[in-house]
Amino acid sequence: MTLVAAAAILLALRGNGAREAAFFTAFASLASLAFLVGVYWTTPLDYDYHVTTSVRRVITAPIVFAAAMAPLLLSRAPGDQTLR
Amino acid sequence: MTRDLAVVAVANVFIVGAGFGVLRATGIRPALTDLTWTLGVGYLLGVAAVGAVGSALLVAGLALSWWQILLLCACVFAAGLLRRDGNRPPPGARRSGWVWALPAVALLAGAILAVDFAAQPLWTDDAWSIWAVKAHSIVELDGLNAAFLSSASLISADYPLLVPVLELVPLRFAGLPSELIPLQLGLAFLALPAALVALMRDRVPALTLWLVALAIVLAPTLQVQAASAVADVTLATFFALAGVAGWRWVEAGESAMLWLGGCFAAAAVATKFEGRAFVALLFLALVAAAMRRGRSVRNLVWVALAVTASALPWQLWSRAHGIGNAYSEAGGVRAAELPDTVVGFPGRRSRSPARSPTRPRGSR
Repeated sequence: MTLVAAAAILLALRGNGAREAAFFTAFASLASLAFLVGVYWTTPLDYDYHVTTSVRRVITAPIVFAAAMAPLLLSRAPGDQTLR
Repeated sequence: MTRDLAVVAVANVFIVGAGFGVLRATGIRPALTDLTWTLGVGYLLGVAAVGAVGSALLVAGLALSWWQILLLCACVFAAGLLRRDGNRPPPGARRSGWVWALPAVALLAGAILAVDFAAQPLWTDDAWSIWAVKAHSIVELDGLNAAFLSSASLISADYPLLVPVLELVPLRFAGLPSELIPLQLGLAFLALPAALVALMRDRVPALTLWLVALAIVLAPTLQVQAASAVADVTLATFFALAGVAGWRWVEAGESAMLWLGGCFAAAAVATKFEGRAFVALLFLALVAAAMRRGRSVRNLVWVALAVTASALPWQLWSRAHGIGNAYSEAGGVRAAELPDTVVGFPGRRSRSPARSPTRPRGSR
């Protein structure tokens, strides 16, 4: 699923008419992941403790969001005339 | 078990009804036979409404008994009927041909997963110690009990209430102890592919849409997380739908999509703490994208305010009663310590919860 999301973002950034949607998706998902990294950094709990106990769960939302946007990224935006 | 499944199914039909009320309030009126809208978007909007409004009702002192849950669903449905003008059916799907086989595969996978969820115990620490214990306490103590929630036996007691409210559905309808908690939470995940298809079917070829929907419902890590009855998949469901609906608003300017996105965003905020940050970042991205397209952000601001307001009752109540979590118990990091903390990453010596010095609750 992560690969689907990453591939869709990269393909859209290369210019199939969904570049804006790709920036939107990349920003919202990467910023959310960065927020999680920040929280892990700034808690007094052991960073390794977080990584081993919760990181696989808490990254789910940004990744599912990016995967859910994939259909929009892989199809041409309305009104776009560029060739794929 | 069969009786329990039947009564929980009836409760979930009422939740679909609540979702229809929200859909009508936003100006969308799908046919009952339009299954991606009915069982996808409709069901998840019902879950969002029951979860978010139910959280506020718990704070207001209700115990959300079985009849109160049904009454809540009926009230949300009735509220949707108040809007009589401007309702229209959702846009239809693009021509799909043989692609009908993919929904059939998704349906089969969903049915197998539902059977699996119905047989799952609460087998993760977090499923019990964070979420189910709160729902059980609401049943046993007849509503939110500040003394219990602020006791040392609970970790992360100040997490929002949407998941415990959902867990109340099997607990109230099937009785204590209910084995159907994983199924109730898993239903939201099973509705996600249908909801995604419904929101994008007029815009994206059916083949692409259903392949991605299948990739999501068949992802092993999501299936395991959904079966473990923790809140992360529920949060992911609402956050993903908020993002997709929000982007559809940016693209086409349909206010219905904006309000749908707002409902899903409110549900994400009511699910987990990090949902607040995710939704804030999502709104930031939506504002930037909308302004770039010259679209007015006035309605977006109203939606953001409504989402914020929806989180206030539990936030105020939990603070007023000194209810904390593992993070605040451990003291957090003061701003002055932040540079050292970051510079020290990742080799700095830090503490696991078992070794953390604890403070009295409320002394943040």
